[in-house]
Amino acid sequence: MSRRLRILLSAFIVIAATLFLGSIGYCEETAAVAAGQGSAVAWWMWPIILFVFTFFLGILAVVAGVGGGVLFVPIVSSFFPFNLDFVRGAGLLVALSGALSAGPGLLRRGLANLRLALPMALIASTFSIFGAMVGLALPTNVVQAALGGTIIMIVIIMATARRSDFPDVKKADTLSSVLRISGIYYEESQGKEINWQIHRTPLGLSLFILIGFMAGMFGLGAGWANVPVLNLLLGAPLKISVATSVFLLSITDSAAAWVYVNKGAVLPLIAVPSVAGMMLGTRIGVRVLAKAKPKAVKWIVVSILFLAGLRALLKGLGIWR
Amino acid sequence: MSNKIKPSEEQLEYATILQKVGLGGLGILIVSFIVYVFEVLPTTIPINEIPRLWGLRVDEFIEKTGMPTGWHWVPLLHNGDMVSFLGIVILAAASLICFLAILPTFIKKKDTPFVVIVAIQIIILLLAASGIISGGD
Repeated sequence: MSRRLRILLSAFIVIAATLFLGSIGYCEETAAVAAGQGSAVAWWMWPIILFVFTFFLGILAVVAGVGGGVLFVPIVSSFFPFNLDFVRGAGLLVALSGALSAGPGLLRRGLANLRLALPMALIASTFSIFGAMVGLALPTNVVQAALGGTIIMIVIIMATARRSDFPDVKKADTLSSVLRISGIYYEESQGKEINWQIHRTPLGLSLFILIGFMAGMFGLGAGWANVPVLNLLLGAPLKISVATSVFLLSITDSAAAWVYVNKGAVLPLIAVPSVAGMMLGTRIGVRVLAKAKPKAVKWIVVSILFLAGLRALLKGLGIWR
Repeated sequence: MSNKIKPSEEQLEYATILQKVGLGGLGILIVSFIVYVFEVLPTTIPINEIPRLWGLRVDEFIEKTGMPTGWHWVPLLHNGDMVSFLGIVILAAASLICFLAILPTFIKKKDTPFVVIVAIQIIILLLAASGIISGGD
């Protein structure tokens, strides 16, 4: 691991630990405020702390190859004193902003594919609305426990899922043929054009019901689920799958974001510093990535994610307050 | 990408609009937030009150603060905290705007399956934005 990355990672862990201890103290402080005493923390400190925290989170997300959206909700809800409703609202905006920034370039380069994305997006976005509504209606401890369980499942998927650069799709299925979902892109590493097509489209579409629902319910980006379905199940090449997944998020998350906005679960004081910090962090992360050894960082970040998931699960079950 | 391979017309159209709306939304998000935190305009909820209440569930938060839900923030746009919703709404509306823009291209190409998919997607996003199926009032 490079020296610079070691410093960044150490800084992130120190900030996270400080916030974790601070959030415990904050609970006591909230009680004091309710009892009519004043707050010791100036309000303007929070956006700054959140900006710095999400800036480091953005760097680590890129270096570890993990979506920023999936890191944001479990980690911020573990370390900050915000209600999970507002963290999920902000999480959707974080994932949405990242997808909106990357989407146009990926579409222009032909890596994200509109015909592949649109049918999946229709299903995922519809169910993300229902997921968001259910998530905001259920008691916090239930959502928290379900979030914890989901995050642990995501960690297992990240640790075990294999990927296929060029899956072998011998024959396109009927639905994808009718919808003309296929394409061609230039593979720079091989210096040649790659033709691709997909199969098992109905099964893939039905999985996007679940993916959309979970994205909306937990305010997570869904790249961790989109990519395996597009790549391993449908048989799209890995690059097409990753790029189309990012583009898909811009549609899925925007549908769910409306629910959070309409319900008042998006607080600009939380959402905007998070979006700004994460976007700046991911830009710096791309530069750090050139010099870093991502594998070690990936495992550290996945471990932090696992701990955040475990904490959410135990908190939801009332075991760890 | 090789020069020989060009994405479809509607894909390029979508990319162009998404870039403009996305960048515009992010710009407005940052500027409006600066207006909000520096209290250039008055706020409906005192900004220093929010950290005391953001640990509450959204329903309780709204009950205590009277923060508008749905589209009720629009008539209050002379307030700094409501202005900061502008950027958020533009980001959320980016996909909808792109779909509205590419629908005529699919119609022109007589690509019936995708005309139907895009039309239903527009309806879903409009219903979500309006609050009809997303529970806003």
